[in-house]
Amino acid sequence: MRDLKLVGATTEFLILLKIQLATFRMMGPFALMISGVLPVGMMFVMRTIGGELPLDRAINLVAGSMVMGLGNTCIATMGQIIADMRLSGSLAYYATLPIARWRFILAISTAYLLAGLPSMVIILAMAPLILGHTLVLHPAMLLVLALGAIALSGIGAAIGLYARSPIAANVYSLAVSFGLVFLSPVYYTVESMPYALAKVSAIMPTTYLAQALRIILYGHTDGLINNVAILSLYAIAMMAIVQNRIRWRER
Amino acid sequence: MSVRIRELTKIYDSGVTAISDVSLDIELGQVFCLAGPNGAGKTTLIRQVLGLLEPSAGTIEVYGIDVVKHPERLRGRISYMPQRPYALYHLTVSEAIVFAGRLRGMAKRPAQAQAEAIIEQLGLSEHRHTLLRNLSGGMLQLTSMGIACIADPELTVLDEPTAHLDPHKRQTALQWITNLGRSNRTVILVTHMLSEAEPVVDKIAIIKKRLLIQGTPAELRSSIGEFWKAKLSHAQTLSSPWPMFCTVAKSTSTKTELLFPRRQFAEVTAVIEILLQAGRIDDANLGPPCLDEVYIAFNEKAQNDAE
Repeated sequence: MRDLKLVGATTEFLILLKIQLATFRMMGPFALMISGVLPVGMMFVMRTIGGELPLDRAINLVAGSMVMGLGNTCIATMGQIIADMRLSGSLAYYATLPIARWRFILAISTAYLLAGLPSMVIILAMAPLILGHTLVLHPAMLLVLALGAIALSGIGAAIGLYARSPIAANVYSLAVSFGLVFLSPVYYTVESMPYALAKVSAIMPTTYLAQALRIILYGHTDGLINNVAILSLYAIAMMAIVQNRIRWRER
Repeated sequence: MSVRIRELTKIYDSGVTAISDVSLDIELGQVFCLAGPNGAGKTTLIRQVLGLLEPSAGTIEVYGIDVVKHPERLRGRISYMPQRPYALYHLTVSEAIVFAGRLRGMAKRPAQAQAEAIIEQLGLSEHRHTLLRNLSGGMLQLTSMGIACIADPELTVLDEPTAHLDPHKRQTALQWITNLGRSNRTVILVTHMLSEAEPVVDKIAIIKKRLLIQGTPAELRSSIGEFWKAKLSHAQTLSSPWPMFCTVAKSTSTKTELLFPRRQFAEVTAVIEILLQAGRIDDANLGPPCLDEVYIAFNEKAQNDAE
């Protein structure tokens, strides 16, 4: 592993982050907020069709929307970005630099997480108005979102590195993203899932991400530390896998 | 020896052989030119040397590092200039070069200082705050060279560095490459424009899936035999019978190219002198073949051998 000095590692990460954030220069603020429109639209439709939702279902819906957004960014978008980088030769450039793979992936996911924050803010701001419930917002939500982004980014990166083309990467990463969201208790509680699926969901990082977000939105703390700890383990494991197992060199 | 390649072969999963049994030696501080037609395997070879593509067979040693077994050990000592630096497309010229230096471990101020010097030397001062995506092809090419060369890597690979440059910028780029060689840095230059690169390169290898020939420019010129070329310009079709030892390589209504053994130089010049005095030809240039002609000759030979 490359130089582990904190200053060098931090500097490298920040420079990689700046490079990734520069890709948003061509987008206006409107474009950054547009990804919040779909979840807000979904909330509006469900409210209109289903009438007033009880608090628990409203919180499931908001948490689910946030996890879905993060899944799209960190798996689907990451997969396509990495595949595009391979095709354009950008990845070859980074592969010749003495940078840590996990910091490179982390920089991309952090950039897209930051870019996705405005839409998260819109979801959280509109939810009480549309759903009619007060939701608790806590800074711990940022930590949970960051850990979730790291955990899911490794999956997206692996897909992008191994898919044959950007189109294939797009298909696989969307399939995996939707699979993770709907095979785990993201929009619903684990108790409402079939037994077998509930057991499978125990290994999905999205399970713990959704649970942690729900706990925060309720304004509770019970169980938050456990979920954050498991998410942290996923995040560390995914970055270790990216660093050690994912190959820059093609066969 | 900075780069030692032995019996390098790459066969893709589809069964296509990209390169076969290529062996090359590149010395420390050499400007080494890799030439070949499209599809010759130049990019495949370069990607293997950089540790980006796993060979099917053969060995690659760069500065003593076994690149086949430990490609990750090479990073930081090499740099690569892709034809288009898409990775940094959304940065300005100044940002791209500074960040490239910082990612190679340079501290902020030295990176900024060296980037500024590079921008001046490459004639990019007017564009230092322009996004790479908004640059013309030529300016982008020069910026790519700056990105590849900051932090003084030991081995620099430049892929078609003069491809989109006007003549003036081409001279700037070639001077830059010459300076790299003088500073004892090893450069691998991939180019089709052999004649243009000749003044700056120490050694040339021409490949077409396999190594056709390698050597210094003088060695390559003499490799196609002791033949010289006469280029004649004339206003009307020239139908003069030439001595038997001459071969008409090209003949149009206004230009004729002859090949002749160098030892017959006196006889050929005598004939040309007569034609000049008679007004049948307007201009004549005699000399050894240029490297582009060597390149064409070897390509044609390889094609004929394949058929």
